[in-house]
Amino acid sequence: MRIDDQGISRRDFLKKSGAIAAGMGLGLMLPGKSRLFAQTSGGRTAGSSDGTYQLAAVRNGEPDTMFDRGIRALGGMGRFVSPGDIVVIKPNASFNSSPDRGATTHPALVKRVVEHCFEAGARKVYAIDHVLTSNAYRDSGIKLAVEDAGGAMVSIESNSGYGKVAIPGGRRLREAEIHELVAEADSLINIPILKNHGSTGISCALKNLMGLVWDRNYYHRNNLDQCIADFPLYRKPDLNVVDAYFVMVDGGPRGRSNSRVLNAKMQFLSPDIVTADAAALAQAGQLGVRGTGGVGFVDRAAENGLGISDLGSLNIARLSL
Amino acid sequence: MKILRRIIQWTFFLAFGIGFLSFMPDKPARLFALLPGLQVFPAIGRYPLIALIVLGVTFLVGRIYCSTLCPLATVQDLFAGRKRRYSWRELSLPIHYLLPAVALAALLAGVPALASILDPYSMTGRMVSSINELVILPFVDLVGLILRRFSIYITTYPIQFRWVTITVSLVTAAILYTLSRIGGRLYCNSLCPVGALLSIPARWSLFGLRIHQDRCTSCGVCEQVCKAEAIDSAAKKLDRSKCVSCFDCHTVCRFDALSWGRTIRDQTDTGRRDFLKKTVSGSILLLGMPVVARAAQGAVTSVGKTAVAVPPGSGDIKSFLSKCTSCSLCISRCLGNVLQPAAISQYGLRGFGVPFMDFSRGSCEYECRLCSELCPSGAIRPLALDDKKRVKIGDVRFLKELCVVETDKTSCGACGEICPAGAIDMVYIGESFNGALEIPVIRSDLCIGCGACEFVCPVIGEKAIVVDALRVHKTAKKREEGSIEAPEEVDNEFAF
Repeated sequence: MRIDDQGISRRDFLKKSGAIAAGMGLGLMLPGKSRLFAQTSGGRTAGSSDGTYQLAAVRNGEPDTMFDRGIRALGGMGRFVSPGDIVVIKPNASFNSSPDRGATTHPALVKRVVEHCFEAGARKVYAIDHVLTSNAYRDSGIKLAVEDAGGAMVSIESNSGYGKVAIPGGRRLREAEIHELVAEADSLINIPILKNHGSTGISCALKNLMGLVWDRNYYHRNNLDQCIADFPLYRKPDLNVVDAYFVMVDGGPRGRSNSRVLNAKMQFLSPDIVTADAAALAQAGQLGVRGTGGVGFVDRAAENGLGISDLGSLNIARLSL
Repeated sequence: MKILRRIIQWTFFLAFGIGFLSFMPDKPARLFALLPGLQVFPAIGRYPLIALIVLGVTFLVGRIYCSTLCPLATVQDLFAGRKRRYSWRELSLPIHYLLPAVALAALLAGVPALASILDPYSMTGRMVSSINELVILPFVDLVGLILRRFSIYITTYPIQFRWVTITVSLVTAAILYTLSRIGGRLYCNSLCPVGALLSIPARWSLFGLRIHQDRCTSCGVCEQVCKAEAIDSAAKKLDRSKCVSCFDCHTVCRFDALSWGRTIRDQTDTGRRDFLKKTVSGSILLLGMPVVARAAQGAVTSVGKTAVAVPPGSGDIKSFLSKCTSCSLCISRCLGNVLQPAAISQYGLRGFGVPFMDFSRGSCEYECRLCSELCPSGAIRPLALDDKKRVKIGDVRFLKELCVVETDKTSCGACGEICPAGAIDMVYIGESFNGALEIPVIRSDLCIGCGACEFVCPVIGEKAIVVDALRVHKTAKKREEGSIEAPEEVDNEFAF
């Protein structure tokens, strides 16, 4: 079974998984899909030497227009999606909540990202999230947004299609069960919502990837912050788009009816997941979002070598529409 | 006529069966509730008018219910196979009318256990639920596996194997199969409580099948194919109290001596022995109810040592148990996967198969009230969603010493993030090496007992947060939150 810097071929993956067993959701070990850049220490960001921005911060637009502006600043969608690619996007669809409550990613942003993927030549775009409530895909508006743009929403009720992967270098998270699409995708795009979170302080890019695993309980009882920081050692998203259009200040992650929500009209884009969260954290603190004082997982992720948290050292595009 | 009957029968059966498939969409619930709602025995507990209407229709046109609406009819006809000549004739069991009468009396007295065993709708419901689990969901899984090869991803569902329902269904199916093979619709005229009930107005029905005396040659063919032993070929008589309107006789008669139309009085004489049987059973029904009720009291009150939670809309355990015929419709369709069939420890022997809330398998979805919309027997009464969200079926209890935050000093908050009623506040208790630590603090008055916290608590073994069931439901307070405010405008200078 070949492993090259592109990961294993689809056929090798399927052969290894075995037909029936995969069908019954027995969670076999997926072949180690070691992506070289995930193991680099010190954080690697694309194109830092040629003057391209490592972080695009946009404000005062709509979720879709801000994305258009932001992705241009980062060098265009073509840097993250190549023609013929299979793309997996990870929105936050966790609750059956309307977008103006700030608990889920804004559907307009999700739709725009999917459209850009196809414009860049993607062959297929899938959206996936292991959500916390029934009908969350529908009631958050994300299912419709994805399908309108020509993508497919992968609905998770059982773990068939999932397989185990090793997390190389994980301090608490050593293995995880993930959907085969996440292992095979040519491009993984993370579209978190920025909000207050009752147990991790805030929820953003790093926390959002928790929706890719089957067994969330493992995280909760094995040092939640560390597991969040460990997962990207398996695979880092190629692009992170932080939705800070509607920002939930308190009562997160689900939000209560009297949770304060700010119409902050912001968006942060970066190929570096640690940078994205560091920027979001700083902004959240300034906006007065609760819980920003006690966030642990960003530092843990930086320690894992997953990216740069020191914003001062980066080229940042600050864009106002 | 037979072809028409079969088309109608199978249409109803398939529509009925689809309503029991667990992955059907939850809206429109009323559509899925329609066919179960028309079934006679559950209707007795919820909308007696429906039962009266069916009785009225039977008085008009005979027991057409027994070959159209009744889902068990299709099952029996399927088991009986192709039209055969039934050689066993005198198969009316001595318990004819007696057993159904006792079952009905017990149902009216608040102990549906016997009725639920004999009720055709509940029987079929359990069997279809079992097929859903044993055949359909694994099939969907297999289809999903194949489609994944082509990069098509459909939703597949975990297979649960509810052994209680499956065991009961297999035993029932085996018995029915035997009865169907030897006597066609033997069940319908000996064990079925609905059949017993409908046979009374059917006896005097204004329309129905009858034998033309002038054309009939007493060849005996119709008597041999009759599944319900309703025909006495020598006497050229058709007993409409037994006839289930399957029209098999109509199809085989070479002399065109059978037709469906306005009936004639003289064919209804079913003999004194039969009349005596019915009088005795009727009397048992009327006089026996208090006796059955008294005997049932003991069964009703002994509900098992620890109360189990019953779904919102049922009011309290006693009234839930007094109506539920364990048809499994709610179990099959439960969005939160929390309704599961009880074995014996939950409700005692009489509650075998009756649903209870199993928080180790799921929790009650906040935005859902599907079970109350579907339940045909009135065991779970329909609720408006806003009312349902305040029904308190249990009380939360937090065992701090078991909580991960307390034992490991790491963040968790799985319960806090899932509680839909806002009954769990995450409260700062100090710093850990990872940052701020927050631990759940519960507000009992807001808790509705949905079990989401217990279900998601990651502790292995005894969970740190559990729901204790309430025998009688209460009302929870709504969290004082004021109205939802629109998102606020804010100064959004870049922070970096």
